[in-house]
Amino acid sequence: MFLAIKAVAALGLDYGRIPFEPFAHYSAAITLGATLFLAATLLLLALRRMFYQGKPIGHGGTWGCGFTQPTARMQYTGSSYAASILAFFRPAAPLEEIHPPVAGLFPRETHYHSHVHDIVERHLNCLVVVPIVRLFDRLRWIQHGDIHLYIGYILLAIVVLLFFV
Amino acid sequence: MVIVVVTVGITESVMARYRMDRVPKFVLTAFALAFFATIVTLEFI
Amino acid sequence: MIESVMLWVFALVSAPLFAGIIFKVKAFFGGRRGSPLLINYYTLIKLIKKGSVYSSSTTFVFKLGPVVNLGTIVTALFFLPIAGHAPVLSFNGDAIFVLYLLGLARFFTIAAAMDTASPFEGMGAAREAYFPIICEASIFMILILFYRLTGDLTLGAFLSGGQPFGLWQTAGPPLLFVVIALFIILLTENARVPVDDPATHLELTMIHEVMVLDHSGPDLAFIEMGAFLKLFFYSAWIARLILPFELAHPLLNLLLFSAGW
Repeated sequence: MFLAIKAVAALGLDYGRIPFEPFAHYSAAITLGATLFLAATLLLLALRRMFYQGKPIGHGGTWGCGFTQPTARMQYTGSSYAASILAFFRPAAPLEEIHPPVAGLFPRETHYHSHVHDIVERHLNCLVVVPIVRLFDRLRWIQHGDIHLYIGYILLAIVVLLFFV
Repeated sequence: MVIVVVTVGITESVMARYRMDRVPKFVLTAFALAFFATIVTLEFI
Repeated sequence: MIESVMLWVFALVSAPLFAGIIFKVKAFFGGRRGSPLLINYYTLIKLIKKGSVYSSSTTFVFKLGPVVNLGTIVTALFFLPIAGHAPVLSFNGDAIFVLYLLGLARFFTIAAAMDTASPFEGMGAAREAYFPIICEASIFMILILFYRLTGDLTLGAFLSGGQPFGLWQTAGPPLLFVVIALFIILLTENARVPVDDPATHLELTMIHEVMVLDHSGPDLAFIEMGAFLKLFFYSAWIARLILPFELAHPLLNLLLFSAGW
């Protein structure tokens, strides 16, 4: 990256003078920090290995708290994981949930489906697209198909430009 | 440090008696305070 | 430099003590005698002496979690000015670097919790991902404020030397808000009471503790140590802000910093 910046700087263009020294400092400093972190982690891994020397290591099921026989149909899914975050950001990301209420003591079947709407997609149409289309509908008379008047527009544009340029 | 941890301890003892069901709002208070502090120093007014 | 490294070691050694003081205060207000002040050291030694039981559904990610967690916070402490002394390392923008190091720790804790395939730990992980979103917004607001006041983005510039005192002089009232905001962030980030209860035994109500349910032995000791250091990290910010005084001798400074009176 720095080579590229140097090459651009060598051209001597006015807009090519990007100060690359600060970037170099930042990346060097971040690399130093990351190296330190890596060193600390490796040291701790060694320490961990030392602590585990000759220790009994058992294997068992995940701690379930009375919930020891889950099936594949009982899962903590991605939607469950995101649910609380999505609920908080509801104003910015409208959430639609399709979930019929559970009926009866022994409900047979139910389903849950959620969809996050794009707020732009939802409001762009009614707030921006429709007004603009309406405005341009009103201006439709400019485009009437008479070629002579079109040439007149061009002449008019040139005359107007003459005043400004 | 001791002041800070003692304050944490006192807050915990006091708050433990109440139900806390508005955690996001509580954390948002922190954001509001910080935001307000920044606005004040920007000297727009 | 030597002093900075010694202060870093001081942070590592004293962090469990400060966490122990919280227990003592809570016991006092609960009308109990409470556990000894050095309880956390005993806990750490006890955990290190033990072996471990691993869930059969875990992989190496689960074992990597505690190590990376402790590694990041130990690295982050390198950049933290303790007792007003210059930090061991400092570069422009290290405040952001440190905050994202802690983000890396959080990611690995969450990954380790998800690795156990326990729905309870998934719920804890979801909350752990959720609350820090708001926390991050506030802490970056505070960083923007500090940047406006000092023109620097290093923890050293905010919290070392005579700077906190200068901050109080230029912007006292906003800084009062910042202290309160930082305190709330401390409570949230360290899973303390209004947000989470470290003493509870019900998985459904926990955040941090439920994520570490399946860890045991030295792995749990690493996690506990990481939690103590994180508490130290955030309380050091606040302690330095509420006591911005600079005494003649580094040792006196340290005493003032750690005592707080």
